[in-house]
Amino acid sequence: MKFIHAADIHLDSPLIGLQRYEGAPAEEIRGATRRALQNLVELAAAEKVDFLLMAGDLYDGDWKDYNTGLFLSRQMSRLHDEGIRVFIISGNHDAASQITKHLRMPENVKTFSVRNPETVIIEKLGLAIHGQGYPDRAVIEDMTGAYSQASPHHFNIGLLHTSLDGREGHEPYAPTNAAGLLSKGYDYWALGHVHAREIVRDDPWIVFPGNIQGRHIRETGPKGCLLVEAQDGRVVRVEPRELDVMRWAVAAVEAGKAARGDDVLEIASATLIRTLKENKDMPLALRLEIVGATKAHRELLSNPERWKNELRAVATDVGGGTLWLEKIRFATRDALDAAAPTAQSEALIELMKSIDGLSVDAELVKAAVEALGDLSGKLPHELRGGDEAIRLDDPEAVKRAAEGVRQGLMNRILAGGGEL
Amino acid sequence: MKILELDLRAFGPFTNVKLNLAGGREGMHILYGPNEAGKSSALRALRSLLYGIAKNSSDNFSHDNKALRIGGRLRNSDGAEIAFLRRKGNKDTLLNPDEEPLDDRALDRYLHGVTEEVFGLLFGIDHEALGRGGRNILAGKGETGQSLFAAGAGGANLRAVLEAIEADAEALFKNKGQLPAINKAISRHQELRKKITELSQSSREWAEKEKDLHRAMAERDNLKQNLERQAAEANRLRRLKDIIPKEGLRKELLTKVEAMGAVALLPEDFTGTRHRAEMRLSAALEVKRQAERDLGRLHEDIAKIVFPQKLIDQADAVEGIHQRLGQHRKAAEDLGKLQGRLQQNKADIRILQMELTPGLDGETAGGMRPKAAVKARIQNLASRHASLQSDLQRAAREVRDAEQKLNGLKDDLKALDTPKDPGPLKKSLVKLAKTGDLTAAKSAAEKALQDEKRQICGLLQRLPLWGRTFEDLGKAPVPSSETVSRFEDEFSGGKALADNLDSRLGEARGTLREAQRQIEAIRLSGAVPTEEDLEKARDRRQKGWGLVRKAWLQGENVEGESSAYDPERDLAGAYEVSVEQADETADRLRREAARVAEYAALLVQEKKINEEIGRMEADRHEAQQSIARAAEEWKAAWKPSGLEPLTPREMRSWLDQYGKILSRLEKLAEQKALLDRLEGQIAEHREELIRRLEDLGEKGSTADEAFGQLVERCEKTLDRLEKLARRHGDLESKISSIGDVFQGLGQAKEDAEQRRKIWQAEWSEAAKMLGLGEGTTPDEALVALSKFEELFRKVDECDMLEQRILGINRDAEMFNADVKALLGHVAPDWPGLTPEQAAVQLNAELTRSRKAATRHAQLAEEIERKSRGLRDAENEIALATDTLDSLCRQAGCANSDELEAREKLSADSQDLKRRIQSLEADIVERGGGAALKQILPEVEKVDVDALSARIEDIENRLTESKEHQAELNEKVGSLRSELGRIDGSSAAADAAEEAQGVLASIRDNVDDYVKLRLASLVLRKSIENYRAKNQGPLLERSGKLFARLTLGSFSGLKTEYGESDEPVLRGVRPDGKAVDVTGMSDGTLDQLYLSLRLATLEKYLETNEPMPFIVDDILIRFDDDRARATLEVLADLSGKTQVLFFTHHERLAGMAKELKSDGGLYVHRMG
Repeated sequence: MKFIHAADIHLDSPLIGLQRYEGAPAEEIRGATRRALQNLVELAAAEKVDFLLMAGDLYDGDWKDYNTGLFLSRQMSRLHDEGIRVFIISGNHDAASQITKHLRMPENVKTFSVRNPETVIIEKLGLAIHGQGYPDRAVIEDMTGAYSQASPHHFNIGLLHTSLDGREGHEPYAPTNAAGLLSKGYDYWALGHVHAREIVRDDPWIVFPGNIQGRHIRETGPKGCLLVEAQDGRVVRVEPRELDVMRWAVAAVEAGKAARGDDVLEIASATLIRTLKENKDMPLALRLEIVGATKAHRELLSNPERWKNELRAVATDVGGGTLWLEKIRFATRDALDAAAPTAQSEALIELMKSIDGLSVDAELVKAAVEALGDLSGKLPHELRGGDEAIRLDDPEAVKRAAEGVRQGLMNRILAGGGEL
Repeated sequence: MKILELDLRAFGPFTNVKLNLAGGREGMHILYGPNEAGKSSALRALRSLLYGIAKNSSDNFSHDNKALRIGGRLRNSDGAEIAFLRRKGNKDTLLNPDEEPLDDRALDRYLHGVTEEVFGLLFGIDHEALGRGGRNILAGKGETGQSLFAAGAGGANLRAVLEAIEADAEALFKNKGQLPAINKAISRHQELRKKITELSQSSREWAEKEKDLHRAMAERDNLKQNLERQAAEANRLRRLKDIIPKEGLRKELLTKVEAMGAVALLPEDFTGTRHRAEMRLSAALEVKRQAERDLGRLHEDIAKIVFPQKLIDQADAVEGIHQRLGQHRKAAEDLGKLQGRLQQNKADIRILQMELTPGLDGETAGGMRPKAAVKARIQNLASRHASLQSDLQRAAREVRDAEQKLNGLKDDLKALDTPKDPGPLKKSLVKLAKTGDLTAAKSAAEKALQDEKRQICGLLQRLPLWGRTFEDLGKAPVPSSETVSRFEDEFSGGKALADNLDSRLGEARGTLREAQRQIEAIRLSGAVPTEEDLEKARDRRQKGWGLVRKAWLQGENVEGESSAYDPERDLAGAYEVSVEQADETADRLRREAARVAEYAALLVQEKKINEEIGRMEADRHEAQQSIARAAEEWKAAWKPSGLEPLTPREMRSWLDQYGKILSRLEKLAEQKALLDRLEGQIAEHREELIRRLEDLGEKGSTADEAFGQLVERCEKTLDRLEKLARRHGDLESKISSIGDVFQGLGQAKEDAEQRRKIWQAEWSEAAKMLGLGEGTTPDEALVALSKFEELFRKVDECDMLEQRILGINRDAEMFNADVKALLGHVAPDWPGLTPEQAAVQLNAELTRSRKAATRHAQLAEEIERKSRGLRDAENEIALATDTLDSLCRQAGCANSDELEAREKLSADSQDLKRRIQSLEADIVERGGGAALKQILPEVEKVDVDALSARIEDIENRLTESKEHQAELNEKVGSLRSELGRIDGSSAAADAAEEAQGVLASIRDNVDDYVKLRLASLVLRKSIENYRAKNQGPLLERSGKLFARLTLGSFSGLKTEYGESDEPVLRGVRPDGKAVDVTGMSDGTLDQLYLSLRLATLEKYLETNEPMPFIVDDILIRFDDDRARATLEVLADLSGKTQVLFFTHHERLAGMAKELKSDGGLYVHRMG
C-alpha cells in the first residue's frame, strides 16, 4: 500500500515580500502554489499511489475567487482519471473559505464531515481512515476525543488539522498531544496546520508534512509532501518529496575579508552560486544578509541603494533568471570601530549622541510619529495590521527605524564638508 | 601628534625630497611653492602618508604605482616617535624604513582615532572650503546654530543637507502628492485590489447559475419528447393521405386480372427468341442458294486452264541460263577489243627492239632484260658524275685565287720602311709622366713664392715700431712672452695696490671727517667732561684738602701755598670751590655718561683713523716706488732688440704679430726649396729626351725649344714609330697564314682528280654490262635504261591479253553446251534455234506458264471455300427449324404462325400484375415500412374528408414548440458559456501576487522615508543642542579672532533674534553697532567663517590630542594687512598644534618671515 500525505496547500495564496525590480524573475513566482499542487498530483500519478491524504487548509481563508476551487477540483479529476482516491479534511482556513461551500468534488474525493468524526473503511486495502474537518475557523477544543478507537485488523490512519501542543507562529487550534493521539491505537497520524515538516514521532507515526510551497521568508527550505509505504499493517517507508517551485532561503554574505564594496559583490556572487547549488538550481527567493566586521562597512552604508542595485545585478547575472533577492540587509560592522574609537568634532559628537539617543528621546520620537501621521493614514490595510504591519504610530517601531539613520546622515554631512 | 619629517621619496613630481618639519615646539611651517612646484602633490602626500594612497591617485606620472613611496616621521605628545614608509596598495601599505610591512594599526596611537574623513574635516581648510563656509553662512542668513555646527563639522552645508533630505523624502511621499514613489505604489495597490475583486468569481453566484442551467436543460428535454410525438402523428396522417388514391387503383387492376382468366405465361425473352430463330432460318436459306450458284461457275473456269509442268519444274535452270546470257553477250563484245590491243603491243615491241638492238626479234628480247643491280649501279654512277665534275672545277679556281692574294701581300711588305726600336724613348717618356706635370708645378710654385713674399712685406709694414727691412726679420732678439707676463703682473699688481690704498685712504679720510664732525657737534653742544677733567678736579680738591689739613690740624701757615692754590679766594673758599668742581665733574660724567662715552669713543676713533691714514700713505709711496723700478727693468729687457717698448699688454700683442710673421718666413723658405727642386728635375729630363731622339736619328733640340714642345715632339715620334712596327707585323702574319691555305688547296685539287679517275673505271665496266659502248655518257645510258623498261612492260602486257582471250572462248563453249542440254530436256521439239534465241524463248515460256499455274490454284481454293459455306448454311437451317419447333411446343400451339398471338396475351397479363406489385410497394413505403396487412385496415378507417384539417392543426403546434426549443437552447448555451468562463483561471491570483510585490515596495520605501524624517529631525535637534551648549564660549572666542582678523573693523560677534525669531549671528562694530551677515563683504565672511573654525579647533585641542592643522592657500582674497593678521593668528595657534601652511604666493612667504612666533616659524621653499 502506498499513499501520499500532504497538507496546507493554501492554493492561490500569493508569495509575500517580493518587491518587483528590473531583472527579478517575475515569471518564476506566478502561480507558485498552483504549480506545486500540480507537482503533487503528478507525483501521485507517477508513483501510482493508492490514495492521497490532504490534512486541511486547501485554500486561504479570505480568498474568494471560485476559480481557485475549480482549479483544485480539476486536479482532483485528474487523480480520478488515475484511479486515485483522495481524503480531505477541512482546516481553519477552509472553514472560513467561501469556496468550500459550493464546490463539488469528483467522486474519488472523500471530504470528511465537519460535524462528527467519520471512519472510512476500504477492505481491499485493509485500511481504516478516521477524520473530521473544522466546522468553523477557530476550533479550540481537542477534536480527537470523539475519534473512534483503531479498527482491529486494519491499517489505521488519523487525519487531523492541529497545532498539537503548540507550534510557534501557528494558531493553537485543535490542541492535543502525542499521548492523546497514541491512545487511539492508530498506525499513522496524518497531521496538518504546521507549515514546517516535522516527524513528531515514528512507529506509530505522528507527522506534519509541512506546506507544499513556501510563501514568505519565514517559510524557508524545501517544501513538499510525504510518500508513505506500508506493508502488512506497518509503515515501512516515509519519504519526503519536494513539490515547491520557488524556494525561500536566507544567505549570509560574510564580508569580513572585503576591503571595498566591490569585494563584497564578489563574495556575494560566490555565496549566491553556492546557495543556488545547494538548492539544485531551483528558483530562489533569497534574503541576503551582508554580515561581518569589514572595511567596506562605510562604503556600503554610504549608498545602500547603489549597493542594493549592484547586488541585484549580481543575482540576475548569477541566477540567470532564477534568483529573486527578497531583501538585502546590510548588517555589517565597521572593522575599525571595534579596534579604536574615533575622534570626532564636538558638533558631530553631538549629532551622533542625538542619533544614538533617538530611541530614548521621547520628544523626538513623538515628533517623528506626528510627522509620519499623514503617511500612516494612507497605508494599505495589509500594512497596518497583521504580522507584516508597519506601525508608524508606534514609537517602538519608529525607534527601531532609527538604527539605520546614523550612517546615512553622517555621510550626507561629510560629503558636504571640508576637503583637502 | 606632530609631523617631524615628510619624505617625498617617490610621489607625484617628487623624488627624494625631504621636508624637515621638526622645527619649533609644535611649529608653524610655511610650505611655499610656485605653480607647478608640486604644492598640491605635497598636500596629497601628507594625507596619503597618514591614511594611505588613494586607489585612483594620479600621482604616478613620474613613478610607477608600485614604486610610489612617501616617508614620514611622527612624534606623539607622549614623546613616542615612529618612522615609516607608505606605499600604494590594498594591504600592507605601511612599511618600516627597511621596507618591511608594519601592522596596519601601527599608526593608530599617533592618529588618536582621527579618521581620514575627520582629519579632512577638522584639520584641513583650503581656499574653496573657506569661501564655501562663508557663502553658507550668508545663505543661512547667519543662523547661529547652523553656522556654529557647520564650522564645527568642517564646513558642512547644513542647509543643503536638510534640503536634500527633504527632497529625498518628498520623492518618496507627499501628503497630497501622486507622483512620489509611495503615493504611486499606494494607488497602484488600490487598483490591484479592485482588479482582484473584479476578477474573483463568487462561489454562490456560480452555484445559482449552475442551478439555472440544470432547470433549463430539464425543460428542454421535456419539450423535445413532446415535439417528437407530434411530429410522428403528423407524419402518419400525411402518409395515409398519400396511400388512399393508390389503394383505389390497386383494387381496379386486380379486377382486370381476374377477368383475363388462366393465361400461359411466356418467359420475357420468348418473343425475342422467336424473332431471332425466324431471321436465322431465312438468312440460311438465302446463303445456301447463292453458294450452289457460285460453285457451278467455278468448276467451269478451272477446267479451262492448261500449262507445261516440266518447264516449271526446270524453272531454276531456265533462269540460270537467262542470267548467263548477259555475260555471254558482253564477253563476245570484249573479245574483239582485246585482240586489237594484243596486236598493237606486239608491233610496239618490235619497234623498241629495233631501237635498242637492231636485228633482234621479239622472241629474243626476254634475254636482254637488264638485272636490277646493274640498273642501280648505272643510276648511282650517273648521279655522282655531276658532283665530281664540279668539285674538280672549284678546286682549280680556289688554288688560283690564293696564289694571287699571296703575291699582292708580298708586294705590300716590300714597299714598307724597315722599323726602328721605339722602346728607350717610350721608357723615358713614361718616367717623365710619372713625375706629373712638372711645368705646371713649377709655375705654381713660383706664383706661391711671390704671393707669400708680398704678404709678409704687407704684414711687416703694419707691424708698429719695426721700421726695418724684410731681411732683418728674425735677427733681432726680443723678450719672451713669459717675461712680458711677468712685467704685466708686476705693473698691474703695483697699480692695484696703489689704487686700493688710494680708495681706502679716501674712505678713511671720509670716516675721519665724519668722526671729527661728530666730535665737533658734541663739543658745540656743550663742553664734555672727561675722565681727565675729573682726575684734574679731584687732584685739585685733594691738594686743597692737604692745605686745609695742614692749616687746620697742624696749625701751619699755608698762606703762600694757598694763594698759589687760588689767588682769588681764601683757602676755605677755594677748597669749597674745588670740592664743588670735582663733584660737578663727577656728576656730569655720570649724568652725561652716554654723551661722554660717545665723545670718548669718537676721540679714540679719530686717533685710530689718523694712525691708519699715516700707515696707508707710507704704503702708497712704497708701491709707487716699486712701479717705477719695474718700468726701468722693462725698458732694459727690450734693449737688445733695439726697440722702445710700449706697455707690456701692447707688447704682448706686438709679440703675437711678430711671432706670426716669423712663422710665415719659414713657410717661404720651404716654397723656395720646392721651386729649386722642380727646376733640377726638368733639366735632367730634357737632356735624356734629346739623347733618345738623336739615337733614333731624329733632329736634336735647340735651346729655344721649350721643354713642353720637346716633350710633345718626342710623343709624336714615338706614336709614328709604333704605328710602322704594327703595320709590318700585320703583313707578315697575313702572308704566313695565306701560305698555309694555299698548300691545303693544292692537296684538295689532287684528291678530286683521283676520285674522278676511279669513277671513270667503274662507269666503263657498267656501260659494258648494259651493252653500251665505252664512250657512252651517263645521260645516254639513262635514256637506254628507260627504253628497256618500256619494252619489258609491253612484253608483260601481251602475256596478260593472251590469257584473257583464252578464258572468254572457253566460257562461250560451256554456255552453248548448257543451253543445248536444257532444250533437249524441256522442249526437244523446238526447231533449230541458236543457243541465245533458245535461252530467250525458254525464259519467256517459263514466265507465261507460271501465271497460268497461279490462276489455277486460286480457283481451286475458291471452290473449297464455297463448298464450306454451303455446308454451314445447311446446318443453320436445321438448327432454326428445331428452335421454332420447341417454341411451338412451349406455347402450346401446333404452328409457328400462332406464336405471336399467344405472346401478346401473356404480356398483357404480366403487365397488370407488375403494376399491382408496384402500387403495393409504394403503399408499404409510404406506410413507413409497416406490412400491407396493417396498413390497409387503417386506410379503411380513415375519415378522408377530415384528414387535411388534422394535419394542418398538428403542424401549427409543431412550429410553436420548435420556437420554444430554440429559446431554451439559447438559454442553456449562454449559461454554459458563463459557467465556462469560470475556468479555474489564475488571473485574480496573479493580481494578488502583484499586489504583494507592490506592498513589498511600499514597505521598503516607507522604511527609507521614516529614516529620512528621523534624520531631518535629529539633525535639527543636534544643531539646536550644539548651539545651546557652545554658543557662549565659542562666540566669545570667535569674536576675538574675528576682531583680530578684521584688524579691528569689528570688535566681536553676538547672537540676536532674526526676522523669523531664530538666533542669528551678527558682527559688532567697535561703536557697538551690530552688522548682519548680509551686510558683510565676501572677504569679511571668509574671516567670519575662519574665526568660527579656529575657535572650534582651539576648543577641540583643549580636550584632545593635537593634530597638524593643514591650511591650503586660504589668504588669496585677503589684503596684506588682514593676511598678516591671519598669519599671526595661525602662528599663535602653532603654539598649541603644528600648523602647515601651503601657499603659492611668495608675498605670503615673505610676510611670514617677518613674523615672530612662540612656537617657531619656518619657511620651506619647494621646487
